[in-house]
Amino acid sequence: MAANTTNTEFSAEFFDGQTAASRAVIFKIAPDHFQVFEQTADLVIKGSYSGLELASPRQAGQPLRVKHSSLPAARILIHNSVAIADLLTLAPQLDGKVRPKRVLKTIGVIAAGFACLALFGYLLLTVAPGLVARQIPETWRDRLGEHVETSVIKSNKACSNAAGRTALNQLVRAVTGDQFDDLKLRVKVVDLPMVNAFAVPGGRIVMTGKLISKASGPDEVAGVFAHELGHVVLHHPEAAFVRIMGLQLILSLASGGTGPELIGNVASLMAVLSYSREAETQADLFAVKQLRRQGIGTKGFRAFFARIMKKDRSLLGGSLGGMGDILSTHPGTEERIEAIDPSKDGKTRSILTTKQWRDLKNICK
Amino acid sequence: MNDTSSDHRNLLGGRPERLTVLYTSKPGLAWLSIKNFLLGVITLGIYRFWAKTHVRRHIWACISINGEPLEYTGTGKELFLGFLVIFAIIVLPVTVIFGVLSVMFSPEHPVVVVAQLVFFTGALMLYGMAIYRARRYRLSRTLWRGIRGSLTGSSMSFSALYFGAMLLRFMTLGWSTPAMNMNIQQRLTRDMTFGDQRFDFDGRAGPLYSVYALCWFLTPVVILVAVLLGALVVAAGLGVSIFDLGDAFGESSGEQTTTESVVLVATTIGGIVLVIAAYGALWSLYTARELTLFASYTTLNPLKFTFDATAGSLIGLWLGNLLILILTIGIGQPFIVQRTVRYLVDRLTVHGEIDIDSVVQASATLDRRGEGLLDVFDLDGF
Repeated sequence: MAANTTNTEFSAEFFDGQTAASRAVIFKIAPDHFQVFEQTADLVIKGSYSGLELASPRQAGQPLRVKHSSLPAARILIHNSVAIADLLTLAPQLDGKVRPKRVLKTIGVIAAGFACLALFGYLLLTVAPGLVARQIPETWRDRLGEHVETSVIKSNKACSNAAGRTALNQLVRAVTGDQFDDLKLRVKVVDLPMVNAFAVPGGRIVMTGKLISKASGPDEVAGVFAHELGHVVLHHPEAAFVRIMGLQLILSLASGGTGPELIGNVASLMAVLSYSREAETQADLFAVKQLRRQGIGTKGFRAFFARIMKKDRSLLGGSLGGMGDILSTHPGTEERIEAIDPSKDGKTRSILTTKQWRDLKNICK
Repeated sequence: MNDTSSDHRNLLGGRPERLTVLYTSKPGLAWLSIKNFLLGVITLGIYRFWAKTHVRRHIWACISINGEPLEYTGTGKELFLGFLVIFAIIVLPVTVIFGVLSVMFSPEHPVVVVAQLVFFTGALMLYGMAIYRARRYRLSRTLWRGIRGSLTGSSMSFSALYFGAMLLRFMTLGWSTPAMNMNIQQRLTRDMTFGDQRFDFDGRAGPLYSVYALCWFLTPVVILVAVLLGALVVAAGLGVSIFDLGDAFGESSGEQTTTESVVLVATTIGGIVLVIAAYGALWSLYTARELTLFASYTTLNPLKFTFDATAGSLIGLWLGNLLILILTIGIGQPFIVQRTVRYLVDRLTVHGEIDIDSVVQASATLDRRGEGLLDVFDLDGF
């Protein structure tokens, strides 16, 4: 055995974790373990160096304060600087420095935490909304829709010209056929100075007066309506609501705040969020399918869509973005337009008479 | 003579000693502040539990009693788990309930109003519980010479006392405050132990009432003066700004109005700050008296305590903390904790002698989780 590995003894101070008494002890350093003895030679602890841990941060001019995993409540204080140096070579973890391994572990824990949070967030924001949306009872949907609708329309009036309403009903009937009676659809035209249409929970669909006046034929309005109908049938507005609630939960998880003050104005919040591109594409697909089933040409739908998106962006009302917005400016608008292929239409029919179309155009007068 | 007796002392009996509490600041707090801030940003705030823990570990180690520092043994994991539990049993259900209610009823509907009232009252009732539990957690994670502190009462009954005090305070226009603060402090102190040694608190609230009455009656006067001063400043600010603008830009009415409104907003905020500062300064008279009196009512048989608080030093403490908060945009929060703890430690004196060696660890079980409620209420000082 080399000289520097022979047993050495130092005096130390000991707190047993049972009383506050400070006990003078002997700390014995052996090559592979250490021992702490009472003055009376009774053994207090015997342990491995790897089980030693700093009890308090190291401090200049202060004794080294350590604890051992075999007796976690006890504290050993080493005052002797030679003993501290010896102990540090045998238990290097006591130097209090940051170890790369520990940093890596911390990064790993943070990353794993993030993965969990991301998964939780993903489920909460993408999978859960669709599932929960279908379970929302009809009365709730209806009330929610009412709030959202009023918060978007504000004090603008719904157009109620009788002949116009009749023409609108005719157009709605033409698109829906005898399907969707269970949805309790309520379609409104509101006198807003922008080209837009949106679906809100509870089967409510709103089109702006300007959209009707900019359309050059009933098929165009029918296309827009069919798209919004798609959102309604696929529960997109309800899912958007659930998604906002999920978002609030995530926010309160990060901030530690409570929920209610945030959720107060769900309706207006909802008006700001838009649907995902998938939801828009799904609504487009639905619209095309439904139009064909009812013998309505998709040419108008495509033309109107293309015209508004490409040439007449200035018509878009900024304040009404989102919320079932047919004109959501997602990337991939080009593909969405291309996906509507009127050459695949079957036999088509005209849905409104010239007089009915004129009536619809005048619905806000 | 004394040396020989101390050499032969047995396990449960040493020499009675005086206790000296000191705060010795250590390097590393600035780096800790920056690290906590950065990790907080990266983790979207979830790191706050570990940040808090590291700050406490640092600050606790700066406090020493007779040369032996305090040790903080709490962990970030415990705080995080505590928060998760509260999140699951309170935040989550409340969010869902209010979400559903907002679907079912309009915001002004009686059901929503009642639910909000119930929630508000419930939150107020839990407030005391949050304070009590957080204190219990901290005490149980504070070690001196290997011995823990503890808080041994029921957080539920403390919560009731706290809520009652709030109601009474409201009903008596504040006049119950000294008496109820004393009851609360008595409860917290009598429930507190260090090892097997229990703290005691005995006294009357009477001596607080003269200074309370002074502050109470001066409050409207001080606020009125502050508002008048603020209004003067606003008026002066507007006058000056128009004058300056005329000089610099000539006739540009559009610019003028925007500058005017900026000045208006700035001076209004300044005025509000002035009112709050005046209010705080006035009431620091009361706070100082309360701190001093409560310390003198506290004993840890046979130890007695005095605390040297003055209104001026309290104002200095608050102003300094406010400056740190503003100048470091909150990153310097650990220094605010340090200043506050240092204030408490530096001005505290322990009288009498105690046989430290005879203090035995209490066998109270430890909470496994920490402070969840307090994080949700966000009233955490340190």
